[in-house]
Amino acid sequence: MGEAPTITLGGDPASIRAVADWFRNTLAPLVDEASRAVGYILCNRLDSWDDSVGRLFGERLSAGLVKINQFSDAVGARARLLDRIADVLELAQSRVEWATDTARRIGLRIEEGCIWPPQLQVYPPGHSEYYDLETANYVYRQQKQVYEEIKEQVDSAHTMIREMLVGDDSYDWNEPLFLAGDLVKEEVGVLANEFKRRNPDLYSRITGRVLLVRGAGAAMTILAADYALAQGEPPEKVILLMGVAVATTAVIIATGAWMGIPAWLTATPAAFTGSAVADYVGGWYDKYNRTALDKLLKATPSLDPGPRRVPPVENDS
Amino acid sequence: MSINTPLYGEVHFDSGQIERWSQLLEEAASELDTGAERRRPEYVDAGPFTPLVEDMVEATVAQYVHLILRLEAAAHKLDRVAKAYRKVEEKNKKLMKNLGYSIAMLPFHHPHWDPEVRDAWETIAESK
Repeated sequence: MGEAPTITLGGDPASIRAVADWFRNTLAPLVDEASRAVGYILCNRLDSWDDSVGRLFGERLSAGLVKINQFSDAVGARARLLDRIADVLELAQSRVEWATDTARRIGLRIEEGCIWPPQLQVYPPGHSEYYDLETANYVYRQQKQVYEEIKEQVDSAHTMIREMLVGDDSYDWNEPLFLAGDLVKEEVGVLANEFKRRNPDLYSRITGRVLLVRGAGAAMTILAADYALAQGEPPEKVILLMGVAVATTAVIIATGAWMGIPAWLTATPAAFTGSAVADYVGGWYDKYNRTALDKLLKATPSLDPGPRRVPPVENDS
Repeated sequence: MSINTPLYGEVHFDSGQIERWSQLLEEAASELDTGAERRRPEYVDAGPFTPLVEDMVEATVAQYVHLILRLEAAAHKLDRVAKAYRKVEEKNKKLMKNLGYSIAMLPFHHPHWDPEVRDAWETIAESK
């Protein structure tokens, strides 16, 4: 393409504003409503439940309330950022549109998504007569002058996009993520059931493994799950990894038994292998789990965004 | 009901109210779940900003789903506690009616702390 200004700039600012509107007028008020429910319980707790368990429950709920409020603020801040993104895209598109219309009007070549620089033409296309050299020079200079303006406009549009994308890299989308112990101590079974109810597509892919977790029923599994949850891992990831670890261990022990090796000999290597496989799956999960959640809502196609820098968000969490 | 138990000290509880809290959290979680469908965009085309916007939406949805799960878990725990306390309240009511004294006046190993009531207390204690 060389120095030719690229005029391919897709996107629908209205659709971005629709997401901002969804964040601002649907999600944030619902999160606020949940915050009010939790706040109401905390205000009335001592009147109706005062013992050591109730006090501990109240402490967890209080910590969770702070997180809910942070999340609500974050949703609002993201809505404002989406508005800014839509504004920038709209402005950039209007500049590119002006550049394209102008280029077309003065007869510049528009091909391959680019506006190409003018050339000195004695036989201009679309004209029945040829130019004398002086006229051709005059037309070229005129076109060149407008072309510089076009280039400036398109460059400024691209700069706006770049500045929006390459800004402050300190922002972490996951900062207000709910972790182990927020609101309530984990109950793996409840979370698994709830996850199953709300996310059948994703759950169906791991159901077999979860059944193995239940079948194993080992205290060790629950302890390991508790440990992982206490480390701040999302509950669905813990459910998945526990399943993978138990399944791998069970397969190795079963294979050993089939080959005539006693279980006490295969148990330790099986446990290590199970753990290693679970680590591998954990890496896979970290890479793809949010895309899976996205599929749950069927909002957008899957996309691995990879590392990037993002613009600053004010007053977020 | 307020009682001073040999093992758990001075406690005060109202199983009906705890159950209502459970329902309140359950309703909040349910509303978060179903309400999110309101005005949900069918698609988003952010052009050059697509990776940024999709990443943001994915993270927000993940956090939102986690909040629902945690509220559900809290509601479930409150429900279990309310049921356990209700058993204690019912047992106490019977004792008061038939024998004229409260369960709190008995040592923990007394036969009137029957297994069902003892289990109820232990369920609550385990909720820590």
